[in-house]
Amino acid sequence: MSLVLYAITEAGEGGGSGLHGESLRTVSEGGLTAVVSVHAGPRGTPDAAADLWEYERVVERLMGARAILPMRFGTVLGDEQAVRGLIRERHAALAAGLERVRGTVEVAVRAGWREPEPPARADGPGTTYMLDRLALHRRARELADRLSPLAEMAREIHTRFLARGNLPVLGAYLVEREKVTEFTDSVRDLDERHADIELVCTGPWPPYSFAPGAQA
Amino acid sequence: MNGSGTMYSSPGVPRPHARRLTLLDLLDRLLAGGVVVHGHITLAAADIDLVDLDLAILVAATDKVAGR
Repeated sequence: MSLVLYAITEAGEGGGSGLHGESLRTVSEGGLTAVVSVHAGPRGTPDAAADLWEYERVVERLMGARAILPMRFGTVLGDEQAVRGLIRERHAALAAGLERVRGTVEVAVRAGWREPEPPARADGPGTTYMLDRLALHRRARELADRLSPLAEMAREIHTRFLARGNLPVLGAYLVEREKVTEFTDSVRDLDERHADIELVCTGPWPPYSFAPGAQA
Repeated sequence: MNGSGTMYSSPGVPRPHARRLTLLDLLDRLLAGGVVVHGHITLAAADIDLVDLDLAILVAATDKVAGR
């Protein structure tokens, strides 16, 4: 009987339902608990978007006021033994992971320049390409520097840069729950102070980007 | 917690764009974040438009577990 996994936590109570109306259950091993449900599959046509939001709602509900490590969506193990095995094998990393995220939520901030960089001009296409890439990197770093006040309010941050798109800097911030309002205020503040950038801030998310192995 | 969504977006960013980015942020987290058990990602997200996404992995559909 396959089991869908939602999150790892410490103490756990079952209750509530997971995907496709299946009841949530807990599998505990060595002081850690996996929250699971039976993998029965959808009743009608699979609706991936609905499943993703449903999964997210379950994980957020589990998070409530306690430390959890969300599982990657779609994680299915063969049976309860396999779940216990997972917890045993990775016990130390999971326990450390819970400490790392305790008391926090994840906030995502995307940043970009209002005006795109004018294209580079050079003699040959190869040189133009290199100049464009250099400009992109330089501009991305400049953009990331503008966001430094936000870093000061987070326990941890993880920044990525997209090669294209108008909001190329993606920041994931691990923020103490009680600082989330202050954090959002700072985002608004930054936006008002810097007329040449655009910002989109989403969340608060469970700490997916700060789970063990998530940034590999 | 009230649930995740768009917490703030610059006035110049159109609402549909902000909503799309919120969905992308959801996908980025659920499909490329979280604790991974290699070889055991089964549920599909195949009918989501993955163009423009910056994801480390693409999720493939499999009916193995359901025995089909």
